[in-house]
Amino acid sequence: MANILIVEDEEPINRLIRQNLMLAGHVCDQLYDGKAAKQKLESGASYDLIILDVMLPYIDGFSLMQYVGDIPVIFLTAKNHISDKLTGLGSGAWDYLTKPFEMLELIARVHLVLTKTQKADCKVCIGKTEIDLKARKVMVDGLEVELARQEFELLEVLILNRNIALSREKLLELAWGYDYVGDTRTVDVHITKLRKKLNLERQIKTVYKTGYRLEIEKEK
Amino acid sequence: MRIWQKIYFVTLLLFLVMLNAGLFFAARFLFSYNLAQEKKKAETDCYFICQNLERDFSILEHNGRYRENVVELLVENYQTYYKKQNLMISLEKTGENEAPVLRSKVSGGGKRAEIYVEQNLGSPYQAYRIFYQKRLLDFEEVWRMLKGMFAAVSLVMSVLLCLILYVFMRQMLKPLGRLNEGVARIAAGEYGKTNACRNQSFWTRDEISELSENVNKMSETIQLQIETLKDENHKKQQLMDNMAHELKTPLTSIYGYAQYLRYAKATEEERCEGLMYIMEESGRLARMSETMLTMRLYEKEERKLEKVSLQVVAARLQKILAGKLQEKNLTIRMEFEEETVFAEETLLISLFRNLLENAIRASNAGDEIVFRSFCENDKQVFEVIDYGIGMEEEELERITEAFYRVDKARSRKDGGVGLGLSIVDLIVKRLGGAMTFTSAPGKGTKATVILQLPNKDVKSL
Repeated sequence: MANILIVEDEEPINRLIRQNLMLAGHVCDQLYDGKAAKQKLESGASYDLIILDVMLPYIDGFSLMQYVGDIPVIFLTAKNHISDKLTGLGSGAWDYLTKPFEMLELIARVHLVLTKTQKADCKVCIGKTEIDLKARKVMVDGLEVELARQEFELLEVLILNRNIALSREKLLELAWGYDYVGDTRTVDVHITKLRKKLNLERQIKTVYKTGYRLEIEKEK
Repeated sequence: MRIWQKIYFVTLLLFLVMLNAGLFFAARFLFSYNLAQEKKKAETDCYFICQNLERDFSILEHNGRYRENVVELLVENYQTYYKKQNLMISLEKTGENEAPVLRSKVSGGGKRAEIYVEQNLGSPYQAYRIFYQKRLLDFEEVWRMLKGMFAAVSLVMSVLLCLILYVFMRQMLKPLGRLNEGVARIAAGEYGKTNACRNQSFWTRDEISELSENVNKMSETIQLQIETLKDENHKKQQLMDNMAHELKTPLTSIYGYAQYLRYAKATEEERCEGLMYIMEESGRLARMSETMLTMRLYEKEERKLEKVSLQVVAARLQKILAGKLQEKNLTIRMEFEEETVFAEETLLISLFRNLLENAIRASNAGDEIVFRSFCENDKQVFEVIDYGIGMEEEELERITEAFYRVDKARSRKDGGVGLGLSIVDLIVKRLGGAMTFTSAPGKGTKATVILQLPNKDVKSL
């Protein structure tokens, strides 16, 4: 669980980002213009990450970079010109995403930044199942459960994209890799195994016509 | 070969030929005139000699000494006398029946000029014929001097002419060279005032200087137009950029929420909200495309001006804006000096609808908005005044920019697409007017539209 600041002037988009980040279990603050963001940052508020738009009222995103200190910043903007990207990355941002964005990509990039800054959660609790992503250990009711390498990979993908339905193809791509040539039935087999071994029948849901979704209570 | 060289050589050649031909003919004429004079003089001399001889003969006859030998002696006397004057005289006796003659001729022309005259004596001594021969010794000298002098004059004048013409030509055609350089600069893409135009006096003003001025004017016009084009292009580019961004914003929302609803574990509330946003943003896209299409129409169509009743316009506006006015409990005070103006009704309504909508947006609940019109210096002035939130100076400068919003959140909530004042700007330009804004934060904004409406007898723009 990370504390993330979203600075985005379009209310629907701000809300959308927040909803997406909340799925992954993050806590978000929302600000709608450059002036407010500057005040917030100058007041010493601390965040694990800032999602920043470029075209903001009063003070634009690039100018705001001088106030962020060492908080990692990901730009999320409609400005997709290469010169803007270079300006953004040159100003010290960790990443640069353009609108319209894919929710999986946003979540993955946020996770990447948080992993690097060691702010990402290593331990995840789902009911009575405890998963240590760093040590690659899974405990159910305090007892360690042995998972095959591929099973753990799948579980990790599901945890990172928690509360999001992933198609079998997507799961294959993310957990097995691009070059894996296999049937989507392989995914079903592994999901069944995970459900059984970790006692996650209720949490790993089959979503109609879509795929599978690991449901974890969102942070409120 | 340069043009000055061509003119110089042709002029020089013509001048030299003319000059020398002129001098040559003048010399010839002078020479032959002198010769003729000499001839005349010789004839006169000869005539006098004849007269004298006749008189002497008659005296001799009278004294009875008219004899052959006496005559010869007499002639000899004459001969010795005239010899001193370079004259040769001889007397011959011709046949009785030969006709008396008087003829003279010049021989030798140049070096050895001689004049012959032969003449019969008068009656009764017509049998005698006198031969008169005169050598023109000085004349050769004169002719040589004359030739020398004319040659010298010709040479001096030719040299002078060469020099003067050279300087003159260079000086006269120097502006042409400068003009050429200027035009070369234009050809290289360097527009603007390329030719230095000095103060023109009567003497320096000629076709070349006029050409220079015109080239300057042309160059400046080209520069101006290129700049206008560049400016327009830049504006269009900016509009495209802004538009791309404006399109992306609703698209991001629509795509994002659709994705969220499709894949995420959404609560009922999130589902409702997401769908609402998708619908709202789609509506915004639709409105945007509609507005932009309308703008294209305003740009294209030929406009016909007609008599428009301001009361009708006001009534229409009231009707259109009634809902929004009621929402904030606002009133519009309308004051019109004129009953009618020449314009186009739909344009006027669109123009003031946008301005009034902005005023409504800026006003606080319960405020009054003033919409008035009056004549000033043959111009129709319209004012829309609100007493709302007002704007900062730097915001004022950008408000006619497409997609610029002073207060984004509020404008979007009202369903604005950010093109209102762009349309107003377009309409005002279309009607050939000007628009200004004055505003102070917290005090309100005044939009002034000044239209140069045509006289009543002019029916179309």
